[in-house]
Amino acid sequence: MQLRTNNLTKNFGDKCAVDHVSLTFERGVYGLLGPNGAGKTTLMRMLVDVLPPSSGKVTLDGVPIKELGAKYRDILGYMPQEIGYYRDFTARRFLHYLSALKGLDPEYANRRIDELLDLVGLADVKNKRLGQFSGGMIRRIGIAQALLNDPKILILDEPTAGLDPNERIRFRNILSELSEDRIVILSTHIVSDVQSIAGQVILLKEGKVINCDTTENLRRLVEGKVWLATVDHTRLSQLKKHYPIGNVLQKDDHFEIRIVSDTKPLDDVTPAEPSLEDVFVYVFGGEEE
Amino acid sequence: MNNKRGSRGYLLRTQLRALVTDRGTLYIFLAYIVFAFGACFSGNFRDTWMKVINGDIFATLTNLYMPFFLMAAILLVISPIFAGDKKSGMEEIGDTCFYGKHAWKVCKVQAAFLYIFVMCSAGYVFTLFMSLFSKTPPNFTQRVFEFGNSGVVMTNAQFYLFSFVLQYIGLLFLTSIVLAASSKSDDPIIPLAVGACLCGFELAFDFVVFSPILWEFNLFRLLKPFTILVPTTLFTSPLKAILAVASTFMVFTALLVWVTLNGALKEEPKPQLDLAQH
Amino acid sequence: MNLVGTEFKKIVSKKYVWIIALLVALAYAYLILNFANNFNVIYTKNALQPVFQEIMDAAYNPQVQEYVTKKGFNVTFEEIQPMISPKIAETIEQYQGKVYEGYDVAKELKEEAALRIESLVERNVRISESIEELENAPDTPLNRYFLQQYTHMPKIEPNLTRWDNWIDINKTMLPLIIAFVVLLGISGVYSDEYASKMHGILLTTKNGRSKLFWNKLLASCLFAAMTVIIFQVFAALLYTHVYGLPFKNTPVNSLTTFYMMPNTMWALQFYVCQLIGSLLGAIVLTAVALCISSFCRSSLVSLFLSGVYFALGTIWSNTFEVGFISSFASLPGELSTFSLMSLTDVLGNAKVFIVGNSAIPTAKLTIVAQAIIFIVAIILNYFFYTHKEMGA
Repeated sequence: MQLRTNNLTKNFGDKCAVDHVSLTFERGVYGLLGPNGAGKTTLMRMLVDVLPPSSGKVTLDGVPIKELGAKYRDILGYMPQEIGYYRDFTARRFLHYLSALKGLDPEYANRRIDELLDLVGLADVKNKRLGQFSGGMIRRIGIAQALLNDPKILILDEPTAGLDPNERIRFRNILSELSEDRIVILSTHIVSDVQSIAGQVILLKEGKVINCDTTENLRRLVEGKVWLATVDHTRLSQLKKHYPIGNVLQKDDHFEIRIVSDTKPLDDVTPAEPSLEDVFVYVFGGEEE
Repeated sequence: MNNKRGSRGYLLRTQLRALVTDRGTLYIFLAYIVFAFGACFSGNFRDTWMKVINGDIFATLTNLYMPFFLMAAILLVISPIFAGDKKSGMEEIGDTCFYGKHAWKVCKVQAAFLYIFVMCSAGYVFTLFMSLFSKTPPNFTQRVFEFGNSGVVMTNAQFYLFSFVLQYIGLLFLTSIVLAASSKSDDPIIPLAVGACLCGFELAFDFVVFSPILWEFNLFRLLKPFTILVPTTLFTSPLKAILAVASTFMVFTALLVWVTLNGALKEEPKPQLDLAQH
Repeated sequence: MNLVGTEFKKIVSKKYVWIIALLVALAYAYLILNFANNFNVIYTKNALQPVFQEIMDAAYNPQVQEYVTKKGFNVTFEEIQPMISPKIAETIEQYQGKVYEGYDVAKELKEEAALRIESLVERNVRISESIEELENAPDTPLNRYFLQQYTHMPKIEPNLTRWDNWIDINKTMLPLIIAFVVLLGISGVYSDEYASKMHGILLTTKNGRSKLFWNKLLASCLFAAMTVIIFQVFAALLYTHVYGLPFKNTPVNSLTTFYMMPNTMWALQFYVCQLIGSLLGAIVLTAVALCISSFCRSSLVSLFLSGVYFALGTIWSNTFEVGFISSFASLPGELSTFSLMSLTDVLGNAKVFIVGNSAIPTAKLTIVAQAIIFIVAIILNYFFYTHKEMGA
């Protein structure tokens, strides 16, 4: 199974949100990383065929998804960034409604819904109205509905936003198990989510693909370019003007900072082991921007 | 795990259930219960608030008052059917499902029409039961309605059935207008306002004869079926009036449904799928 | 940044409000313009207005009065022609031989002239009889009220002006249209903030509570006032085109609509009261709509409930329209927002409500009731807004 985008472009008036993106997705987990406004959500919406591209196409095994239509949607699971729901529906009823939309047999749907509610930890509130759910609970419902039809292609937009650390770990584990024979594409700002489960990371900036590689190879990009320094406030302000700054940790009267730079920024810095976050800072700029 | 295929019928039933169990349906039905109770059991209430047709409470309620409650149900419950999903973001999720996009749209239209049928039927059945226990229960075999020069002769039972059919055609038209407005807007308030406007002006044209054509081809001629049986300047025969008015509204209904679906019938999901084998 | 301006702009920038308002205005114009070519509009009153004074003199001529009374207030023009000014006949003569829409114009004008005279005589006779009866009747608050009203009435005039039509502007249709447009614009003021999850942010800002509340109220009232002004001016222009301006002021008691009502006002005064009532009513409706909007999470439900509130008042008011005494059954309709916007029933019919030994004009009660509703609505509005739970 191969999902491809061929020179996919989307323009909103003068602004080009996605600029000639060509990618190939096969089995595994793909992380879509990029700053706000990079075009991640727009790209995802074109992948799930709710937003028509200005040019280019999305194909599944060589067949445009527009032609496939319902056949494509039958193997698709999508979780948008903003999850729409019906406030007066209970969790169970909402999933039943979606299972009908996904063309599932009612008996099968019943079993599947119970399994998924258990999986996302909402079994004890299944008869509670969605209007009474917290933000994190709604996101978990969003994950559950995306998995209803046991999709072969799973596209998740900011799936872990609003989830507590335990829930995020649980979610990562679910995705890891699912990714064996599926295409999973997830976009997130939480680099640690992508770091632990994504086989490939796609870096998107201003609608263009900057890089697409494994996390290991991307880390190598910034090997020898990550530095740890201890500075005061004045020094920090000066450094921000010249270098991308990663993590800033305040300690008593000084700051412990991570600087990402091709050359050694200061004399009294120590080299650090690079992380995916440092790649993010290196490619997209840290506090400098 | 077997991914068993569910039918379009199941989706339709689910959609219909969502409409019938909507809070708006409940509140409007409750309001009608209170009104009908007052009409059937309180002489004071009847004298103050109602004009009774030929002493027949059942015909009065179903011909003069129940349509307004059904119109309120259409405006409140059907308006968000498309626009509400767009506003809440539900449309984006639904459109990525197997029965999403076109099939879902078609299903919503079917469910809306079925909903009106269910509501109309429930209204008739409920009113029948209420009026049976009232002081003036309906007598189906009698012929209470004599329509002057029209020569129309029908028993009460025939008249009630005739009323149901005509009212359903009228309510379908209103539903189709609200559906069309809802499908083209992203705020449920717009189809509500459009529907309310239509009802308001049809009512005005019904009360005052500004134009014979607008008075004749009026939604309330269908919603108050006893009025269509009286000969007028335009239609000397009630049969001609019924055929002309009903068919005109049915044509408009079909047109509005086409506007709503707007090419939705091109793509239909097929039961056999190759990709599910991957 | 000007908060009032921003809130006002949020309301008026909703395109659908203006599109629907335009459609409604066009439909309204179509309804009114339909009357433009009616015989009654083209001729009848217009043709007889030049001899207004002569017709009035004829109606107050003792000889004519005696004759008309003897004939049971049913006379023909030919019967009274010898007793009245020849100028009336000369004016009608100009239309001799003219036919319009199947009507013989001269014949119709003669009937109209006779009708105006006999109607005026009848009113004067009936009022005199009523005064006589009341003077001999027991001293009750109602009788005292009627006696005072009838004895202080301006001199009744022939109904040859267009005031019947102008007062009709605000009878039913225009208040409904204004209310509809106001509710369309206002129903989402708070519920849209909840839907967009903005209210959580608003409530935590410095000016996000009481200051924003007052600004929203002011902006909404400005919108309502603007709607009232636009539609009243539009209706006035339409009526001017169709019926022409009323060529003189006339007492309300001369109008067909208020036959035998104990009303001492003049028509222009009454019309101005209707305009003020329309504005005040729209503002009260705004407060109620804002209150409902702050309670509902959905602007659809908010619009529907506000509409039900106004519609109930309208239906109730129109169900108990007849007569000039308010009862407990009719009061809810008479004290409604619709009633304030129309005033045709409570003020035009000079209705009273008997409380103990006093006859209180119902119009005053309407204003008081609406003021109370306004205050309660804004108090509840503030409470609902600041206590709304933030959803997911």
